[in-house]
Parts: sequence; C-alpha cells; structure tokens
Amino acid sequence: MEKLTFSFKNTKPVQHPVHVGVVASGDLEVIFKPTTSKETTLHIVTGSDGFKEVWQNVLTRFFERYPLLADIEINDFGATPGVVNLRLTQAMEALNNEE
Amino acid sequence: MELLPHDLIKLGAIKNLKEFERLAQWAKLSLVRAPWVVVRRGYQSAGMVPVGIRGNLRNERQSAMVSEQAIVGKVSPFDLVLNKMWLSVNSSRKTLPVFQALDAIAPIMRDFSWGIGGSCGYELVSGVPMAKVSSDLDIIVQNFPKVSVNEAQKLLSELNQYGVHIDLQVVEGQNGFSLEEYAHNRSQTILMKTEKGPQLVPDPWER
Repeated sequence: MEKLTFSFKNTKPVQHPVHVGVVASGDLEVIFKPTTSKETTLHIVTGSDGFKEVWQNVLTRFFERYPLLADIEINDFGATPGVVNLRLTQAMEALNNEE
Repeated sequence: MELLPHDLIKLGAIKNLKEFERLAQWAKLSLVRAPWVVVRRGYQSAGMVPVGIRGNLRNERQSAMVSEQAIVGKVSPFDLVLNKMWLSVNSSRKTLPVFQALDAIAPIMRDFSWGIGGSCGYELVSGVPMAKVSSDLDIIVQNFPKVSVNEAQKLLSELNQYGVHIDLQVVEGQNGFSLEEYAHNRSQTILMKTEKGPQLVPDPWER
C-alpha cells in the first residue's frame, strides 16, 4: 500500500463532484471535487507500490490535454495505465454531461 | 484448446519455460510451489498465451507468455462451481469469509453460468492458501442476460450481504465488465476490458 500525492497547475475548474470506477482488482475509483485552490491536487492510494513515475506520466499526459482544476482522490487496485487513462476520461465525460 | 481470461492453467516442466530465468524471485518460488498461472486478457497468437503469475502479496503479480505446448492442464472458473470445489476446502480454511460466502451465494447464483476467479479460485485449484480475511470474492458470469440498473443493484445487494465484497465480472469471450459499475449508473459509459485493451462503451451488452 502506497500513498502518492501530485499537484498540477491546471486552469479549468470543475463545477460538480463526480465519482467513477469501481473497487475491483485491475480497476480504480476516481473522485473529482470542485476546489477553491489554484492547483489540482491528487491523493492516490494504491495497492501496487513503486509506480510513482508511471502515475506521473499518465497524469501529465491527461492534464496536458484536459487541464481540469479539482481536488482528486484515486483509490487504485492495480489498474493498468490504460485503465487509469480511461477512468480519467470517463470522469471528464461525466463532468461535461452535467453541465 | 480454447483459453479465456481467468482460466487457470497448469504448466509442465516450469524450469524449461523460456522466460523462467528473467522472472522475479517470488514468481519463480510461486511456480515451484504450484505450477499454476492465470490466463490474462490479450492476443493469443502463434501458440503463445499471455498469463499472470500470482505471489502471496497483493502487488506480487507478474505477466509472462507461455507456449501452449507447456500447458498440461486447465481449470476454468466455471469448473470450480460445477464441482462445488469450496466444499472440499479443509476446515481451517473454511472459516475464511470468501469460502463462507460461496456457500451462501450459490443458491442466489443458481440460474447463472458463474465461476470463481481471483485469489479464491487460485486457492481452490492449486491448494495454496492464498485467500485472506480481507479478500474480495471474484465472481465471473457468462451468458449474463441484459438487466436493468435496478435489477443489477438488487442482485448485488443480495450477494453482498455476507460480509465479503463481491466483484462480479460479466464476461463474453475475452470481453468483461463490472456489474457493480453498471449498477452504480454514474456515467453514460461502462469500461469494457477486451482483447485489444480497455474501452468505454455505451451499452456493455451490445457488441
């Protein structure tokens, strides 16, 4: 079990909380909450230790395309980078649908 | 031989595996203890099958490719249910929540073609104590008829009343999705795991 924290200087504030994904092996839960901060902060709890650099890469690539400003919590159960990227995409779609 | 994700396969002569030497030490030990690996999602070409090796710890998972010739046995998650394998678990293991829950959920799942995956399935096949007090129970269901969100919620709440989190995956061939995700109904798409990698799909029953 490892706890990771990342922050990104993002610009596009989210207006609603969203929660996607599931507690299941090879998957993850992603929770976006609106924030008053000027930075996006991610708190990640992961069952797979030693992948900080992989997380950094997946998150950087995602936020370069979609600079969402939010407080983000992730509970990871050994998801692959492909699954992480799709869950982030799905959270973003859920935000767009509510607007 | 048709091999699908979650099938457990038994390897003969593990030390002859092409990749054995490059495996992590815990993975070599795991194979020496019990030569069973789980089929992973992904392309099976030229007789090579993607598999996963399981260690004692949650983060001890390693992928490898094995040749079909190295396979000497196969047990599917469905075989475990057809043979009610949990009934023959020894009495000290039987008290674990996952094995207790199997007895309780079997009548609920009676009308489904269901199977057991994850640590519980591995233990039932290999005899290696792998399930833990905190383990989820991984249930694999094939030919699952399309249900409404309400019906999915109802089934999951029935299954989840025995103190173990049930991770129910609906599968068809290599495709699989989480019934819990469908029941949550939080988004307009569902994550479908496929041979080609994960995808977001609007209706997981529509191919």
